[in-house]
Amino acid sequence: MLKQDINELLTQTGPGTPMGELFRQYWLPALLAEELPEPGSPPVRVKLLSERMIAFRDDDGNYGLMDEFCAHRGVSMWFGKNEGNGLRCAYHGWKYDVTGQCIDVPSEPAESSFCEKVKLTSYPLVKVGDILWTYMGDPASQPPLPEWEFAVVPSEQTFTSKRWQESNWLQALEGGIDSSHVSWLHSGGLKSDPLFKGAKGNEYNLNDMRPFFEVVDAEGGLFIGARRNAEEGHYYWRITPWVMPSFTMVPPRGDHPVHGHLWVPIDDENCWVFTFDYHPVRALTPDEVQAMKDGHGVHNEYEPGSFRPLQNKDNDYLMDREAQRRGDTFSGVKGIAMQDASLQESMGPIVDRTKERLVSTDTGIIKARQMLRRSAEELRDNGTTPPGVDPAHHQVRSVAIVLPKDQPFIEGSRDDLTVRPGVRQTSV
Amino acid sequence: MWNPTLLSSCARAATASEARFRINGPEPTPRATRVIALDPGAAELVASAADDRPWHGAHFLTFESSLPAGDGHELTVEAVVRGDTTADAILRSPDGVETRLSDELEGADVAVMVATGDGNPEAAVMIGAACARRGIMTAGLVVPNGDGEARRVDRTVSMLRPYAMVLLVSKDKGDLPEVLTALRA
Ligand code: FES
Ligand SMILES: [Fe+2]
Repeated sequence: MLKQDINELLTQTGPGTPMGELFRQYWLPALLAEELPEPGSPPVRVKLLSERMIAFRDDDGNYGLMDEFCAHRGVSMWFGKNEGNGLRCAYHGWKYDVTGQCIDVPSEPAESSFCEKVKLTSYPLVKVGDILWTYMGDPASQPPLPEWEFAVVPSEQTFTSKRWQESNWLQALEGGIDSSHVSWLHSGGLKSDPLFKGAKGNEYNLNDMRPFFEVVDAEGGLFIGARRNAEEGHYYWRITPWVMPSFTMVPPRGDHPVHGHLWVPIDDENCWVFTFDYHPVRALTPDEVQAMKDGHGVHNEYEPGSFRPLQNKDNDYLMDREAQRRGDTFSGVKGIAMQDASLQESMGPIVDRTKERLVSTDTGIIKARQMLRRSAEELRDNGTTPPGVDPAHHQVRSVAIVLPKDQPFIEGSRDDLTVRPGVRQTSV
Repeated sequence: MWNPTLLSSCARAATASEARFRINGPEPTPRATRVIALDPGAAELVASAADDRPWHGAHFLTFESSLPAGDGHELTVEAVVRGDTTADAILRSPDGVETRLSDELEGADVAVMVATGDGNPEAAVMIGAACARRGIMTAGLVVPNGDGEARRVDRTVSMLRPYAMVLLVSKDKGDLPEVLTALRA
């Protein structure tokens, strides 16, 4: 249960809100690099943290992210013409470079310096891995670029997709932290999905439906361990890292690629879910990449030509009651990603947390909310840099491991929970 | 099969305006919560949580000592779980009132055990086993008291692990009231 004012604090991320300011301390995924594939690519509309922007690349390949609307009379720059060193407004031809600086106002005399006084708000846009990242905070405190392992391994080892989710970012993130739903909602996928099946760990999962949980605080966020019985005297641990504010990783299965998410607010009622899949030491196979593109694992299928999932609100997520009855899927909805999204969207755009009845197994969620609130308040009141900004906090991995019963997971797997370049993930 | 006729009979009804039509049920009833400190460090945390805000009937207690069974049975986990011992424990509230573990667990929904680096294995076994026997949910909160305590904390965590369905290990002394509030204690 959360009080209404705290629910608002955590779910509102527009400019000037405490949580919005918190998000503006981090490099955030703005769009996929493939959306601006080459110099001079057509401009793309981007909305993040309740700000509407336009992303484009000039002819030299420089990336720009700026206010969507022309300083002259407020026309959307999406209609603009990408032309040489900048983007020219379709209405009266004002032209802006990738920093938002106006560089031509055709109606003014040629020698006029008027355009120097016109600048659209802009943010840096930088490619790291398959993602274009932006930092929307105070330029004076811009942190070093992100160092998430999935984004820095060679490109043939990693794959990223994104999808639109029609809910507030926090209820989407909470699904990534909530290990207790996996035994239910996603139970069907362990046997059949090409990106999960065949791992030894799956048996432990299916044999013990009532895991115990341990939540341990970390430099950048939390480690959430779920343990199940394994062979005599041993536990099977699945450990999920959460790094502030919105990075989560799913524990691996066998030698399958490892996946995770970044949950990014579009506005208070919508978010982007960036989903990555990578292998720390080998290239993804063509079959794996094809499976990801086909929407298996934690990816999804799309309405053609969009980032809207094929299964969505307008078609009741292609509910299949027969599959539910047979037990192929627990909820009747196909695919891990849409199983989560369908339920989280059904909660309403911003779930009313004053009504919920949390139980002890929700402790990971309770603790994460508390860290988010506290960090937002300390930033607002004392200017304290929150956890997760320092790239050292990005050096985490998820782990699946069998340990003797008396060994704490955090001790038994400290090295495994840390990125070790060139070393395989720890997985069962 | 019928296709949805009204907006509210399909998934598109997940809008803010449709949320107005959610049934406004009665306030959820609080869960009967027992918060039990296992060592002196934890007793301070529990006492200050008790004063922190108004609670919905949670009991705040400290484990004082176990009461060996008068029946000659040895005090073992198995014996407590089976219920074939009269072994019990003495608990004390922050204002000094003494109670019995068996009385406190009567009608309880969840027991939250709190430990610092000092730990007390006997208390964890006693409470954990007594809860297991009665089907009471258990949770553990371990708050390391100071630095350089890693080994003792590990011991405390391993001691609590078999008896706590959920364990939270956190340096944050404010976690206890926070977790209890979220659980409507
Ligand atoms: S509105 Fe853009 S140039 Fe006039
Ligand atoms: Fe899920």
